[in-house]
Amino acid sequence: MDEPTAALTREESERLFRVLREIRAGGGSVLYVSHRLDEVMALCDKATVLRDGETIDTGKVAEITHDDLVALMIGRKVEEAYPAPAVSPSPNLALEAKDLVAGRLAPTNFNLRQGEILGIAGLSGSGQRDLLRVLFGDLPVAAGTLALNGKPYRPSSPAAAWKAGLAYVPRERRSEGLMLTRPIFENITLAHLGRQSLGGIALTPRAEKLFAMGLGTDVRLRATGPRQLAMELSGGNQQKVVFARALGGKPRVLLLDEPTRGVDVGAKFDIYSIIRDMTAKGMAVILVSSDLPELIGMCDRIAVMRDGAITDIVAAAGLGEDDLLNRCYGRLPPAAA
Amino acid sequence: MTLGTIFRRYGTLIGFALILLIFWVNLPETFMTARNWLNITQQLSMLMVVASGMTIVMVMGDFDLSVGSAASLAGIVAGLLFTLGYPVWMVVGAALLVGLLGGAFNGVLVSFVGILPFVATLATLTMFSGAAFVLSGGKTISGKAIPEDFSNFARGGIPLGDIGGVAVILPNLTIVALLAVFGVWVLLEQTTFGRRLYAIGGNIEAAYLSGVAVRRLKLIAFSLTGLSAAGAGLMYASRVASANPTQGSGLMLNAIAAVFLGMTMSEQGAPRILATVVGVLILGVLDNGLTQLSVDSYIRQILVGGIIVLAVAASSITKRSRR
Repeated sequence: MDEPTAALTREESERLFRVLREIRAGGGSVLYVSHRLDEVMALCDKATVLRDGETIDTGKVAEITHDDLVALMIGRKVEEAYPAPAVSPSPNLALEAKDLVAGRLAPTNFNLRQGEILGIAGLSGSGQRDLLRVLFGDLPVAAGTLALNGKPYRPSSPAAAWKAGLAYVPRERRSEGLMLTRPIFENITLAHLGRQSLGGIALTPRAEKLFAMGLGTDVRLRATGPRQLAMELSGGNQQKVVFARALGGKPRVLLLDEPTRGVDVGAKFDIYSIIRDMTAKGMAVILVSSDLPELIGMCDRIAVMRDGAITDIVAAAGLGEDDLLNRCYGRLPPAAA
Repeated sequence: MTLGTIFRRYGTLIGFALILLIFWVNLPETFMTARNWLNITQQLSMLMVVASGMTIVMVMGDFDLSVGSAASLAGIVAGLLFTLGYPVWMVVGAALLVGLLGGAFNGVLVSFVGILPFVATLATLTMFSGAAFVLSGGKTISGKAIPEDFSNFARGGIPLGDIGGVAVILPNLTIVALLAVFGVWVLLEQTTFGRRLYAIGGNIEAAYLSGVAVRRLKLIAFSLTGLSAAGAGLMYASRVASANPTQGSGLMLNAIAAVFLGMTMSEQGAPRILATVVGVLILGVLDNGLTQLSVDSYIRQILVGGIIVLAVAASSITKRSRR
C-alpha cells in the first residue's frame, strides 16, 4: 500500500486499519508505505526507513519512538524540524490591506513586513483561498485598498502579479502547478520567459536549462536533469519544482498555499530551509496552512480567518496548538494586536 | 533501449518506411522518381499548409474544424474580387485577411465567450461554408475572371535542372508549403509564444497561474490557423484557376489526421510540426501509391483510415504499457 490514507478521513483510515489487521491475523503480509508516522507507529510491526534511495535502518516499531523515526528520515534531530529564523523581519511593510473586499472576503485588514512569514490559519472555506487569489490577481478587488511596498497594488491578472514581484505556489501541484508532460526546466522558466529569452521572443534553451539547474540546486531538487519530465518526480520534488519557479524571479512576496501537503519529512525540511533563506534576504511570505505545528514553527505572526475575514492576529512564538485551534473555531477573544 | 521503446518511438516511421518499400517494389519505374516526388509535394502542398496551421491550435489541445470552409470562403472571396477587377496583390491580401478574421472570430468564441473549440468551430464551419455559398451564388467562379498571373503561379516553379534525364522544377506551391512549415516551426519551437502554447496544452490552469496570457494567445493561435486555411484556399484557386464554395472540403479531416499521425511519433504525444509533416507525407504517399496501383478510390479511403487507426492505436497501447 502506497500512502493509502492520503485521501481518507480519520474514520475511514480506522476502518482500513481494521481490515489490514484482519489480513495480518489471517497470515497475510502488508507492505505499508507512508510518511504518516502516527499510522506507522499504530499499525506496523516493523519499520524500514529509506532516504535518498538508501536503506537507513530497519527495526521493530515497539523498540522505537516517533521522534526516532523522524530523526532517521530527515537525518537530523526533531527539535530542529523547523529551521530557526536568522534575522527578525524589518519594520518596512511589504504588503498592506485596508478594508479589502473581494469574492468571499469580508473587509479584511492586515499588513506584512519585509522578511516576515505571516501564517493564515482557519477552518477550510474561511476565505484563505480568496485572499491569496486577490493578492495574485485572480480575483478582482471589489473595495478597499492594497499596497505593495508602499505603492497602490491592483493586479489585473497573475501575469501582472508576477511582474509586480509576487510569486504563488498553488495548493494542487499536479492540477494547478505543473505541466506534468513537460520537462522540469520548461516548468521552471515558464513564468520567466520574458527574461529567459532573446528580446522576450527567441528561446534560449541552453541558458534556460542553466537557469533551471541553478534554481534546482537552491531548492535541493533531486532529479536526473533539467530535461526530466515533471511527471516522473516524487511529490516532494514536484513541489520543489513549483518552488523553483516561484523563486526564479526573486520575488518580494511569496504566497504559499499548503506548501508541504503530501510532502515527505526530508523534502519538508528542505522547503522550510528555502523559505528561511529567502526571508533572510528580505522576502515576505504569506503561508496558508492547515498544519498547525508548521504554522507555529515557521511563522512570525499568524492571522486567523473565519467567515471571510481576519478575526485575529497573534504572535506565533510560544503559541500553543490548542490555543490556535480554539481561535480558528472562534472560541477565544481576539488577542490585543 | 528495449525493442518496445524503439517500436514506440519510431513505430510510425518504421511503418512509413515499409509503405515506401512496398510501393517502390511494386512500382519500380514510377514511384521513386524525382518527378513523382515533386508531384506528391505539389498535391500535398495545400494540406501541408493547413496541417501546419492546425498544429498550432492542437498544441494547445484545441481543434479547428472550420479550416476547410475557411479555405473555400477565402477562395470565393478571391474569385469575386477578381471578377470585380482588383489586382492580384490586393485580392491575395484580402483573402488572407478573411481567413485571419475568421480565425480571430473562432478565437473570440473560444477564449472570451468560452465555447468549447470543437463546438465553436463546428458552428463557424457551417457559417463560413454558408457565406461561401451566398457570395458565390452557389456557382463556380472561373475562367476569364481569374487573371493569368494568378493561375500561372500554381503551374510555375524554380527549375532544378535535369534529374534522371528529365527536366524537373520545384513547384511554387511546394515552396509555399515549405515556407509555411518553416514559419510554424520557428513559431512553435523557437519562440516564447510557442513555448507558452505548449504550456497551455500541458496544463492550462498552471500556465495561467504562471502568468501566461491564455486568452490572448488562444486568439492569436486561432487567427493564425484561419490564416493558413485562407492560404490553402488561395493555393487551390490558383491550381484549378477557379473558385467554388466546396473547394476546401477534404482539408479539415485530413489535416487533423495528419497531426494525429504525427503525434504518434512524439514523446508524451504532443503535436510537433515536423511530425505533422511526416503525417502529411504518409497520407500523400499512400494516396499517390495506391492511385498508381489502381486501387479503387473508396477502397483507398478505407485503407488510409485503417492505417491511421493502426498508428494511433499502436501508439496508445505502447504508451499505456509504459506506465
